[in-house]
Amino acid sequence: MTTRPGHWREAGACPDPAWLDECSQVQPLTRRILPTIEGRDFRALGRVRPCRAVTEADVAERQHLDRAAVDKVERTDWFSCGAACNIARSGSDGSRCRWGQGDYRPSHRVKFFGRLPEVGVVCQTWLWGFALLPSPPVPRDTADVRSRRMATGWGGVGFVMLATATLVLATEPQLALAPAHAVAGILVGVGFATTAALLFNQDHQRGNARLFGLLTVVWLCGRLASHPVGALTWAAFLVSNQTEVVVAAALLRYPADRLQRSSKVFIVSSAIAAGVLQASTVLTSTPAELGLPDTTWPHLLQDRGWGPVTTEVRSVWLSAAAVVFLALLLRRWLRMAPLERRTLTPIVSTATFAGLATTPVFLNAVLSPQRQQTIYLIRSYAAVAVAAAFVVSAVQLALSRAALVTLVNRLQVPSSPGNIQSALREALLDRDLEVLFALPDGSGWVDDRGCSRGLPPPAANRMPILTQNAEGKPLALVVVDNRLDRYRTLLDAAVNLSRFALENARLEAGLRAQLLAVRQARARLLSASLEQRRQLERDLHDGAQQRLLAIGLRLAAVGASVEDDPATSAAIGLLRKELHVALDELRDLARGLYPAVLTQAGLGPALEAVIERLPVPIQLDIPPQRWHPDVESAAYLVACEGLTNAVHHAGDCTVRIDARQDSSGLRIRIADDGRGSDSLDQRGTLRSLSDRVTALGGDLTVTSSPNEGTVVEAVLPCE
Amino acid sequence: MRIALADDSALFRDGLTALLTSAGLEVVLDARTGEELLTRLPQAPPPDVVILDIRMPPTFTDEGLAAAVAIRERSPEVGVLVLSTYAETAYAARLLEAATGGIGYLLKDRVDDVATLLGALHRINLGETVVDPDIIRRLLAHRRRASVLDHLTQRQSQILEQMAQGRSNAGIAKHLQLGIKTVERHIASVLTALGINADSDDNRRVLAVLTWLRSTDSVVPTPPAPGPPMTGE
Repeated sequence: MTTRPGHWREAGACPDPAWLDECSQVQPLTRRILPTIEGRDFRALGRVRPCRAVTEADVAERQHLDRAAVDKVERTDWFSCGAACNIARSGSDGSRCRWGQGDYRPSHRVKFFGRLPEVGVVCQTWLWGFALLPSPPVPRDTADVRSRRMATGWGGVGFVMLATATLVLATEPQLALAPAHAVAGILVGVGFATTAALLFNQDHQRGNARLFGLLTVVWLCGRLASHPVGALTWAAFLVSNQTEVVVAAALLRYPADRLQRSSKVFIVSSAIAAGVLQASTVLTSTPAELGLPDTTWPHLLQDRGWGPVTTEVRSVWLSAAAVVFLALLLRRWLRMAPLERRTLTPIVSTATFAGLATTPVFLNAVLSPQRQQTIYLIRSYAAVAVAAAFVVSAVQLALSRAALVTLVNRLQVPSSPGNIQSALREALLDRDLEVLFALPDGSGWVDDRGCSRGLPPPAANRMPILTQNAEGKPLALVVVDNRLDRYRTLLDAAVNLSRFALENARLEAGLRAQLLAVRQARARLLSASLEQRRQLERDLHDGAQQRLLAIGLRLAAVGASVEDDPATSAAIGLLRKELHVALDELRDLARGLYPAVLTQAGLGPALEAVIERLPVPIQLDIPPQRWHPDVESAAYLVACEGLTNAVHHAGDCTVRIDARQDSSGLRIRIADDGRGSDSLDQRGTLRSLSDRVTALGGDLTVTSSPNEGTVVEAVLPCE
Repeated sequence: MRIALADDSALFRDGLTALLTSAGLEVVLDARTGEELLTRLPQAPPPDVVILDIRMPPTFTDEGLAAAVAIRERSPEVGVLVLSTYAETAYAARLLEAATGGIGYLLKDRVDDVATLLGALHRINLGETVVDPDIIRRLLAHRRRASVLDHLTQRQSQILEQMAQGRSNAGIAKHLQLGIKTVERHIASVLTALGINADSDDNRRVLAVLTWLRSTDSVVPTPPAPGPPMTGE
């Protein structure tokens, strides 16, 4: 899968079909998520859900959804009870364990507690059975109902499998002889069968459920090898060491629906190696050597003394395979999405423990029988732990659905676009999740701050989910990590729960966008008017002023040539005086339009030129920094207005002008110590200025009270 | 005296050339922009003074100032007169800071007064500094320094004004028709009153006075100037 060079494209009301195509090429999942928009058959697809105006039916449906979410949580309680039962039973197992004493005959205590594990298994089975019972269906459409029915059916199959495994293994002959081993065997089988049953009900997990089914069968074969059942015993023994391989496959795969290339190579080669090694073991060893019941056995090469050699080879191979497996598992764990990691951490940690426990078993084959028993027991319970971890993981997945309850609660409060985005990020543990809102007029997409955005570029690792309203118009686009597709029900529920909030938030996002557009339009108008003034000043400077100056020069030349004619000379002198007056007036006009020095030298020199012409003492403190021309113009006008106000109203006073740049932008302050006033009239003169400042997204404040002077302060954001 | 000039207005250039020629000066080069002037300058007979408009293409901001600095770097003996449609103190100060001696900053309107123009050109040619009287008058009239300036005598004020405009001691004596000794004495007392260290270099003195007039510090550590105050509020 390759990521194409990303690009943002402006979109109309509906996502561009070409974009959808591109998305689906890059990300096959997208095809399923974003079907033909024109087709309008969104309901059957189960992914793009229409959203109507809120009606009573909607409220009822929402309550229903909430109930379903709560129900999921209740079911996890059943699971927890089952798990507690399991622990209690393990405790009772412990009380019966008398391994290491070489005496496996049941004592009276064992007889008394002998039935406890079976009772525990039955209780656990029933409790998990309750948890597996289909919740009151929330049928939304026929496809939904069908998938639910199917899930329930498979769940039933799993349930039966679980019951069978319990029944078969409860009659294990070793139960009385070597209870600890026997119970471990039962637990592992039950754990795998339970996991298989649990997984039938989950998204994209049918393949894994089959894998766990296979695992249960292989495991049962392994157990069968300890029963004296004729030729079946060695046949079962032949298959039994595939258990480790299938467990490894499950660990490297779950909850994904396919193995990575390297893992696949490892699993296939391990399966072949395990088969060959087990066959050679059967051929070179006797049942007694392998600790199996004496029964029908193919006696071929046993007398050549190769038995210990094959055992040695097998142990070396198993240790090496365990190391490779741990490396692959670690690599996989490191590459997981956060949600996935949370679910799989118990499995990975127990599997690591089990892998480590397996390693010394064969390396230390030379140990005393008692030590070997201990190590075998540890290994058995490590396998139990792995099986239990799968169950825990499945329960955790159910618990992660409880995040939806939090989501619902968070969406109850008036939700802003940013709120929804962060709520979804929290619920789905995807920090990069992004919500893009379609503008109501279909003119494009905006993000949570109301800034205009294009459609996201098709990317291999992001998956867009489109939500639409009743008219089939796009409501919002939720862009998530595509690894979340494995939790499709969760994802759908989260997006659907957010639908109403999204509808509201979209309106708000639309309003924000409009507000932003209005503000930008005002700023543009202001900028345009300033540009016009600048242009007018330039035109005056380059045209009329230069022309008048040239006339002055000509007049001077003429005047010099007619110095001997007093009358003409006097007339020319008068003309020149008039010309100077005209030039002065023109200069004042041009300066009023736009002070050229502001553009040329900045705010400080421009204000210096102003205060030189005013009759009050003014202190000026302005850094020699340059700002955007619009910001400088606004600051200049604020200062001029503040100064005019001081000169006209403040009476005998001194004025201080400060400007400084801080985090909020350019802050300019004009403070006088004059009479001051609390009349609104005085503030009214500053109103047009306030409009100018707010058009730039700034803020103008005027504080004045009698005998305390007046302070005019403006903050102008500089982007 | 040989003059080179740069201004983007052809009308103004022609008018100024005509005026200068009729006054007996030789215009050796006229250019539309500062850059053009700089490229063509080596080919023309070396001018004594270059006249530059402050606002020229391409950006119409302060190309004149940049060109003035470039010319002075290339040939320090050439005088430079910068003309401006608006008399801005900030520009005058920048010019004085960038180059010393033989420079001037005048309002463009001044040039049609032949006597003023020729006087300024001659003073620049002699290595003096010329600052537009408008700027100095504005700075002196401004009340920022009222408390100190009010204590100067009328004669001292006149001399401060002339000093700020860039005239030398001899120039002030001639302009105000006073004896040179009298002028020197007055200058010393004025500089003491303002708290400026006397400097033999006229141009640095102009800059110091200008800086003093522009500064907005309210505290002035100076003793009252000798003589009774001549101007009240």
